[in-house]
Amino acid sequence: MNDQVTLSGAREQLTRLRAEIGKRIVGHQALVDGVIACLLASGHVLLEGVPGLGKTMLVKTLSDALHLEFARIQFTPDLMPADIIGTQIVAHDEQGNRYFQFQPGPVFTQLLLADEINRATPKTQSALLEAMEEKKVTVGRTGHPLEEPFMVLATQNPIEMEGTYPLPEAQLDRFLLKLTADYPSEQELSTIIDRTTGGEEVQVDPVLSGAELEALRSRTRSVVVARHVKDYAVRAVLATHPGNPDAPPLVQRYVRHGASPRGALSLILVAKAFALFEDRLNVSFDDLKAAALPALRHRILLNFEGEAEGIEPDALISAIIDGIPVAG
Amino acid sequence: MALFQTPWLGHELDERLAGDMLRDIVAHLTRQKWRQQLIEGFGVGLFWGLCAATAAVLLVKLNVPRLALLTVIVPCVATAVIAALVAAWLKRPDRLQVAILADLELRLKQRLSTAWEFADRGADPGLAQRLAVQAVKQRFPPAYQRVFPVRISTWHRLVPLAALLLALVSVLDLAREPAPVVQAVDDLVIEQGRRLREFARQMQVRAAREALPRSSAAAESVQRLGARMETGALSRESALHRLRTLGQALQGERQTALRASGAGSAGSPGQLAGEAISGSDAARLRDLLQQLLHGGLTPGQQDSLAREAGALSRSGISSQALREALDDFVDGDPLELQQIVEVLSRIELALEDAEALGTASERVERARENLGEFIVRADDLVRPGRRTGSEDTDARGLLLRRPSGDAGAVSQAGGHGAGSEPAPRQPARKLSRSSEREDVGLKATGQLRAGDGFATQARVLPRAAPASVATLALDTQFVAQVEEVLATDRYPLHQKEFIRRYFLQLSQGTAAADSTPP
Repeated sequence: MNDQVTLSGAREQLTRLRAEIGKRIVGHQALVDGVIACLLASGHVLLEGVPGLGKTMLVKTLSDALHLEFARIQFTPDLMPADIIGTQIVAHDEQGNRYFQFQPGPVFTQLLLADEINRATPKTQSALLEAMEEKKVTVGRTGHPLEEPFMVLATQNPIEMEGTYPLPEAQLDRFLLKLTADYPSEQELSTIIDRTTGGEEVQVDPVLSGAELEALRSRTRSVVVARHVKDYAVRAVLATHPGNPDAPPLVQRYVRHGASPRGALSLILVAKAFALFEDRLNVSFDDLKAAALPALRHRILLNFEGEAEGIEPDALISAIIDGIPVAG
Repeated sequence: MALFQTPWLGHELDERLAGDMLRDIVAHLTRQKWRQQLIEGFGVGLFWGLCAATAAVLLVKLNVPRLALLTVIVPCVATAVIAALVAAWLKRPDRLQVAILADLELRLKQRLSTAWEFADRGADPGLAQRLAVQAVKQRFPPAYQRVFPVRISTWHRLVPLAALLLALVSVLDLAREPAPVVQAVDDLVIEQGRRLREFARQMQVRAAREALPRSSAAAESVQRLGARMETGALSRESALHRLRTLGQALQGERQTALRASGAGSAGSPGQLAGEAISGSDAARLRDLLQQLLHGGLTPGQQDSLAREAGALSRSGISSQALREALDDFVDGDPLELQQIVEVLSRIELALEDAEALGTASERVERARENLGEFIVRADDLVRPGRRTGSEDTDARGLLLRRPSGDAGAVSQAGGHGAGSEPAPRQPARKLSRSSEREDVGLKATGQLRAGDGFATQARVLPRAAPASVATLALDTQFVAQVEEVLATDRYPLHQKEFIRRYFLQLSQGTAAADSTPP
C-alpha cells in the first residue's frame, strides 16, 4: 500500500478520533494530543493532576473511541500483584481431576487504566513492569503475551501524600510520557457544566480499530529524523546529566540522575508523532521542544538540595532546551 | 500544537522534478550565503586593515617621520582586505549547513535540510524523493531568494570608526617640543637676524641711490641671511657658521673693490688711507676737472687743482699725464682729460663700494660677537706670540676664539694669553650690552665718506690689578664657630659686628685695634 494513501487515511482517522474525544473532553488540548501521541508511539502514559480534572474521563473516552478492549484497576494499598496480572486457580476437568489453571487478571486487555497508581504498594506497582515493557506476563514458569496494541494509562494525585507510595524510578521510566492536567479555563468550565449536568448523555462512537492503530504506529516510526535534529535530541538528553560539562548550572546543582537512554527514545518517538500531526515526513526542532517536557520530566531525579528548594523538573528542562543552539 | 491544518502531500508534483528543484534551491541559497560571507569578510578585512594601518602610521611617525603615509596605509589595508576575501572565498559554505540555516530563516521546520540530507546521502531514493516533494511543495515566501541578504555586520559598522581613528593618527603631530634652552638661543639668533635684515635694507637703499653694484649684491646676501635667521630656523652654531662665511665673502668683495679703485692690495683701511687716493680727494679732483671741461676754473679753483694734482698720482695717474691732458685740452682736445675724469669717477665708486662692504662686514662681525663668538683683532693683541690652542685667525688676520661651553661666555684668557694674570670673568649678558653700546659708535663710523678713513674696532679686556686690601688667612672652622655663636647667643644687634671682628683678629693672632665696643 502506498504510504501517502495510508497517511491520508490516517489523517482522517486521527481527525475523527480527536473529534470523538472532544465530544466529552472539554479543553485539555495538550493532554489529549499527548495521549494520542503516546498511543501512536506505542508507549504508556502517566497522567498527573488533582482529582476532578477529568483524567479518568479522558481514558474512558479514549477507550470508547477505539475498538479496543478496556479495563480499569483502582489501585489501593491492599491491592496485590495477583489482582493485576491474574493467578493460578484450581480447576476440575471432566473426569474430576483437579489442576492449576491460569486466571488472567485485568492487565490482559488493550487499554488499561491504572487509576491512582500511587496508592498501591511498590510491590504491586512493580507487577506492571513486565507487562509495560515486554507486553507479556509471566506467572510461574509460563509467560502469557498481552494482546496488541497494549497501552497503560495511569493516573496519580500529586497532593495526597498520606497512604501513597511514590512510583519507583524503574516504574516511572517505563512510562513514555508524563502528562499533567491543568485546571480548565472559565469558558471550558462553563461548557463542562453544560455537558455533564444536562439530561442527555454524550455518546462516543468508536472510530479506530486495533489494526488501524497499528498502521498508524508503523507510519509514526517511519517519520525520518535528520542527523542534526537527532544530534539536538541527544544533546538535550545528555544535558540532563549533572556530570555533563555542557549541562546548565541548574542541572549541575540540583539534579542527582538525568534521563536514561529510554528518555532519548521517548523524545524521538513522541516528536515523530507530533510531526505526523502536521503531515510532515520529518521531525523538526519544534517537535522535539514540544516533546521534551512530557518525555523527560519524570526521568530527572532531583538531589536533596533540589527537593528542598522545590525545584521543578520542568524548569530544568526549559533551561536545557533554551541553552542548546539549534544550528551549528 | 495545531493539528492537521495543512493538506498532506499530493501526487501532482513529479518527484524527479522536485529533486531538481531542491538542488536548484539549495545551490541558489549556497551562492547567497557565499556572497554574504565575502561581503562580511570584506568588512572584517577592511576594519582590521585600518587598525593595522593606524598602528603602522603611529610607528612610522615615531621612527621615520619623513616616510609618506600612503605608502604605509595602502599596503596594510589592501593586504588585510585581500586576506579576508581569500579566507571567505576558500571557506565555501556547506550546503547542508545552508539548508539548516534556510530552514530556520524561513520557518520550514527542517523540511529543506532533512530533504537535502537524505537526497545527499542517497540511501533510500524513494524516501529522498518524497522528502524533496515535501520540501519543494512548501510554499517558499516570495523573498526566499533573499534568505541571506547583503547585511551590514558589526565589522562594517566599526569601519568608519577605524577610518576616523586612522585619519586622526595621520594628522597627529608627534614631533617633540624643542627644549627651552634651545628656544632662548633661537631668540638671540632671531634678534640678530632682524638687525641684519634691517641693516641690509638700508644698505640696499644706499647702493641703489649711489649705484654701487657690489654693495647691492652683498646687501641681498646679508638680507637673505638675516631673514633666514629671523625665521628661527637656524641654530646658533649654524648661524655663526653662515655669518663667518658671509663675513669672509664680504671681505673678499671689499678687496676686489679696493683693487678696482687702484688701491692695490691694501689690506686695511689704514694702509689705504696712507697709500691710495681717498674718495674725497678723487671727488674733488673730478669736480674740478669737470668744471674745467664744461667752462672754466676760477683762480681759486685753479690753485686747488694745482694742490690736488699731487694726490692724483696716488690714483695711478701721473702728474705728467695730467699735464699732457691739460695741454691737449687747451689745444682743443678734451679726450684725455675726459678719460681722467672717468677714471676718477670709477675710483670714487669703487671706494664707496669698498666702504659699504666694510661696514657690512663689521655688522656681520658684530652679529657674531652678539651670538657669543669671541673675536680678537690683531691690534688688540698685547703679546701676539702667546696664543692658546683654540684660537684662529680669520681672513683679515683677526684672532678668533671659538665659543666653548656656554655660548655667551667669554674666555677669561682673552687677548692677554695663557699664563698671564687672570682677567675677571664677564658674563655673556654684559658682552651683549657692550656690543649694544658699540652699535652707536659704529653707526657714526659707517657714516664716514669713502676714503675719509677706516676705523678698527677693538675691545681690550681689563688687565687684572693687584689686590688693594691685605689678604687675611682665615681658619674656616673658626669662622664657622664664630658665626654659629653669634647666631645662637643673644647679643645686642649693634655690637655683633664688633664681636665678630674681635674674634677674627684673635684668630689672626693680632690684638684688637679697637678694644672699645661701639
